[in-house]
Amino acid sequence: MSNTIRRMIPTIITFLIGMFTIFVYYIEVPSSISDGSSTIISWGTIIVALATGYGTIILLRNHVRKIQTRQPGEWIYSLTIAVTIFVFPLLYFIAGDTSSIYKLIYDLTISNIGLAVYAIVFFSLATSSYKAFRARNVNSTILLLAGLFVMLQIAPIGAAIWGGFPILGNWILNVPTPGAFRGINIAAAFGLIAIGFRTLLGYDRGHLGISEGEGMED
Amino acid sequence: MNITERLDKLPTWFLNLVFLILLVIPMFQPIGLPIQINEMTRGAYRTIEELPEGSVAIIDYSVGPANILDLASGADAMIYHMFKRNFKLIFISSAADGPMFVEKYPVNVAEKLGKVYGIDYVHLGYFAGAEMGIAAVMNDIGTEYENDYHGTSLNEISLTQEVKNHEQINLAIYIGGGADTMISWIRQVNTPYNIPVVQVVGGTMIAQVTPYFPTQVSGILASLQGSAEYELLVKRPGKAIGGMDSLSLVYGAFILFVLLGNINQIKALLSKGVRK
Repeated sequence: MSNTIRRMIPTIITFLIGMFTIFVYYIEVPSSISDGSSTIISWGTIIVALATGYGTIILLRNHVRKIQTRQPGEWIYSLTIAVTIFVFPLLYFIAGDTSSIYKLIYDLTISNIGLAVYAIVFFSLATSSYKAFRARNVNSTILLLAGLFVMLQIAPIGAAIWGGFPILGNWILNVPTPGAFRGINIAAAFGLIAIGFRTLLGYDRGHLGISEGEGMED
Repeated sequence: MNITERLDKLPTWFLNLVFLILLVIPMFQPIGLPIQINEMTRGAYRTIEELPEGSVAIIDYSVGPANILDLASGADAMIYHMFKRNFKLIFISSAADGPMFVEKYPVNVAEKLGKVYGIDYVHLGYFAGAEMGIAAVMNDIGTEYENDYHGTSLNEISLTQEVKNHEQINLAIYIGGGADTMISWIRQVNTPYNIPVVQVVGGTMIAQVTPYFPTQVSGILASLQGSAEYELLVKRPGKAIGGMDSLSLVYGAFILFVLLGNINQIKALLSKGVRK
């Protein structure tokens, strides 16, 4: 495939669509133009839906290979995934996701398993936090104290022990935490703008499947 | 091994057993410790109170099995509050699991209050595309949805005949555990259209959303704590208030274990001096 088709045309499409949607976002334009932008945005959701479907096919292909080669310790899980990938869409097409059978199977599998797993996670988190929360040095002591104050702010027992715990916990949540996150977010936003412009101008071509080192020379 | 060393290395099974017992006790014997109401929760309540009766709210109900127990009580209390103020609610889901839970929880609240489907609320189901999907819905609901969750055309539903895009929407609420989606609602709804955004999120996401409060996010229900506080505000005691007693006991025990487990470390810090 020639360089023009492989690189230049996708770069031009990216530039035009990107600049158009950015332009419409920031500047008041007639409804006929903004409708065009809405259409492009809705294309995006269609592409995401297609990508999800494509991802499912790739996932299925990988697991079917494992089943075919009977990979020890893995193929039974691959079989579970493969069956599940078929069962839910099949049920959807036959009965629809509002049907009682679909809801029943969902509740008996995903819902209950999910709830059980996440309930178990609490115990795992609590015991591992107990082991991790150790005042080994200044940094870990600050982490430990901040964690304890926030927990005492969340649980009513904190206020019952001492009225100052909720105040301290709230202060940690409302002053240093948002301050640090605002700094991180603003820095990340500038980074995102820079990456956006590099992509629109064709300097970053990762979305075209072209690595950083590959040039435009051929 | 002396006592402090033992406290430093309590076995996992013992800790889990203590936590389990403490979680269960308040279910049989509630303690009823007073709950203080956070400013973020008050912000959510105030936002709904200050909007005129009959306002339209779009709700991204994106809970899953992972966070349903954490968020459903607060979400139910908020939906109850909005229905009491005759809000029109449009339920959508940016998470694939969301629609199953809309049918279980918010629809249950609506039915108990005698609200009519299609007039007082509508359930549109899942939308793909995450941030792009939110932008598309706000631009024109019809581009994402032709039918509601039950397959009825939006043209045949009274509420979706009236509400077409962001111009008719007064409030956006995100209920879920997606950190990216949570921020997407701010970027795609509050920033361009100045529509107030309220969020009902899990405890692990609070640090990420508090920087946006109170300007871009008008109110936040933080996990079980926020849910319990909102139940108190709307005078509708539910599971969250009951859960706060369990939370108090478990957190109390956890803090006690952590402090006891740190006796050796504190001794070492005091004797050797602080080292970085």
